[in-house]
Amino acid sequence: MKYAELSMKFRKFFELPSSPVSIRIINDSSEKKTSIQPMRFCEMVRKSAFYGESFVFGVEELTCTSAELALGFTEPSYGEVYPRIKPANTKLVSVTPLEKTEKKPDVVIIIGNPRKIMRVSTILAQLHEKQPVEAKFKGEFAVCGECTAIPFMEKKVNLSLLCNGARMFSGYRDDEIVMGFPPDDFVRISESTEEKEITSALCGCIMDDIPAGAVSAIEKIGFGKGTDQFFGRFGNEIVRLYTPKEKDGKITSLTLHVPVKFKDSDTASSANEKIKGILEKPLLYRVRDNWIDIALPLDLGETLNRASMRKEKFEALVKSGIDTILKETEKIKRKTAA
Amino acid sequence: MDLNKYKNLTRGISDTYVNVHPIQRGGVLTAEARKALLEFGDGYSVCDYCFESRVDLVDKPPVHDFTADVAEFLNMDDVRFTAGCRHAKWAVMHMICEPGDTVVVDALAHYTSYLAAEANRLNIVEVPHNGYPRFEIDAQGYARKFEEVEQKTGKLPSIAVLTHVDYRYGNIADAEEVGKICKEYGVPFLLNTAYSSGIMPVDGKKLHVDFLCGSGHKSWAASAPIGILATTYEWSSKVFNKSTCRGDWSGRGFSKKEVALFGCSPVFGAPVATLMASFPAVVDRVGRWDEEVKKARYFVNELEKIEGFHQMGVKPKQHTLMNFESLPLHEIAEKDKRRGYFLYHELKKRKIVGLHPGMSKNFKINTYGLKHEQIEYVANAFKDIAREKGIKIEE
Repeated sequence: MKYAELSMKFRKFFELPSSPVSIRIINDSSEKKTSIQPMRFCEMVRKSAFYGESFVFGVEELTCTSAELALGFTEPSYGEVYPRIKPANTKLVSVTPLEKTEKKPDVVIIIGNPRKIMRVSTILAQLHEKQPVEAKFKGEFAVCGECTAIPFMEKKVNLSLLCNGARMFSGYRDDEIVMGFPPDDFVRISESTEEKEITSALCGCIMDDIPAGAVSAIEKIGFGKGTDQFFGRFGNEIVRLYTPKEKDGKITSLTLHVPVKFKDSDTASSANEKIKGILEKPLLYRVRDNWIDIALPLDLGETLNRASMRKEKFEALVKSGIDTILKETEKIKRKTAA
Repeated sequence: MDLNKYKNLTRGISDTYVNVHPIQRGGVLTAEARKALLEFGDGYSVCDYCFESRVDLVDKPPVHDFTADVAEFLNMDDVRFTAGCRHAKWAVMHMICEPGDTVVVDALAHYTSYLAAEANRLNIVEVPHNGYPRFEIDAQGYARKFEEVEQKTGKLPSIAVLTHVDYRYGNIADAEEVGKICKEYGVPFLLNTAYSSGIMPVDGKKLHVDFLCGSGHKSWAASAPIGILATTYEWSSKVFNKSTCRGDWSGRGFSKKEVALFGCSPVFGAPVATLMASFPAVVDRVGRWDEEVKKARYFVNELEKIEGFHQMGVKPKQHTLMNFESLPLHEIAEKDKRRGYFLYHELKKRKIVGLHPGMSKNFKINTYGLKHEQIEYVANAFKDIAREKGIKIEE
């Protein structure tokens, strides 16, 4: 995928008002400077993000000594500095909106408010096996160090709350923070915005509010989730599991269902009469045309969410319900020759 | 920008296909409507002789007469055409409710009922259904919710919305009972007939309806987007309220334009022309609704011969829109490299379209307007697919 497309998808999905910015660290003389006006690196990044400007600059065009060290133009004279690109072989740095670049970036930087960066973090964590995003920041060496040198040197995404220089001299607003990505991470996030399993929770119609933990607990028993109910094959029968709601919207019980088919509605009605004395409570049954709907309510005694956390107890309750409804269905079929 | 993709647009299916799409059957154009589509396909084509500044008042073609005829057909007093049923719902709520009011809706309502309320900043309270496998809306639930809302907010809901036939199971709700309850409580009643008026008899007065909205493209054999908003004289001037604004500098005013319809409802060319052209056939076809139900029941009966196929919702079917469970198909899909899409492709191979691609655990289908032979063909196609995959079929 081309960078223009990646940039567009990323911006669209995360509703970013500005472009992701491509940073390239150039160690040779293969490219020429395009920038002669001295400026801070963080200012160039913001101009690039919001106004689409591009810069290729050398150390002479930098007005910030922190960036000079962090971007690897100069080795520190006194002790070690962290974070920085080392060894300090940088000749030029290119800053350009991602959609305008054709060369692979070394780092991609985005500017956003905490809400938007939060959404990025959610996807990033999912791509990294739900591991939390780790960030190193100290309010110094922000765009140049925390968001460029760290992703470049450590191949890790990093977050920065910016530094005084960036906020005072480079136009960053109070609600803006910055994130720097190694290019592979950025590409994965951008491409994943089309993967349904990652983004499905963020779009489309939600048909119920059954907690994810409860869904997986029910699935573990052998049910699959449909739009309206769960169903699975147990023995020779297809058993449906439904999650009825109380008046206040809580789910504190489950119902198991096995609809039994008869030749026609008259046969179903007379079978319904026959089974009156046979079925044991709390089993429910009702004729629906040529079917008798057999249902078994299972009282959870608490909400589904909590009940499903008690894994073994929950599983035992549902499994014993399945045994009961299968036994009773078998009995009905035997007595009525369904 | 590749502009070539916009050239030679085709749908990929021809007249020889059987379309069972749940939302498309009632919107298939009549031959008359296809002629009208060509005649009035240009943008503002019905406005050649517009002297009254509103599309519903145009006499040539006879849109003005048509509004009166549609009102008579639905047994309502006044009608306007809207940019879809969703626009009609929005318009009613916009004109008769105040932000912060409560709307009571059935829990099977189309999402546009919820969004119409949201756009008008109304609080939504749902009347529950009775769950698996019937999913029926309890009419008495409206009375309970009215009481609850009054107790909680100090006033009754400003409108009640009922989906006459729901889009998920094709159940027909007891609109007459809900209408009576609304009259008792004095709550205005909006009936969404997107899946009923135009294909089955609907009598607004008999159902005690204050507002009736319908969908031209879903159930009146018209090109999208077009909806129908019908009301009674009691509400007509309020819901079709005319503009009173004036430009503060120019002094301009638009006193004939109806506010909730954006002045002149945006249905100018193909939508209203095809709706009109199909109307004689629509009037005729609702009289044959019983035949449609009979065919739907035949179809259910045939499909339920396949092991694991089970029609959800009220039985026997009272409507042509239906929802089947089909776990055995899902079990096949899990082993097939096409996954859930296998059913869609298998049917398409047999020239049947309209099933939602990717669905195999359960699917919705609509048999409205299909000939008996076509219904038999579709049922046999399902049986063929099942047989090929080793699923048992009753003989």
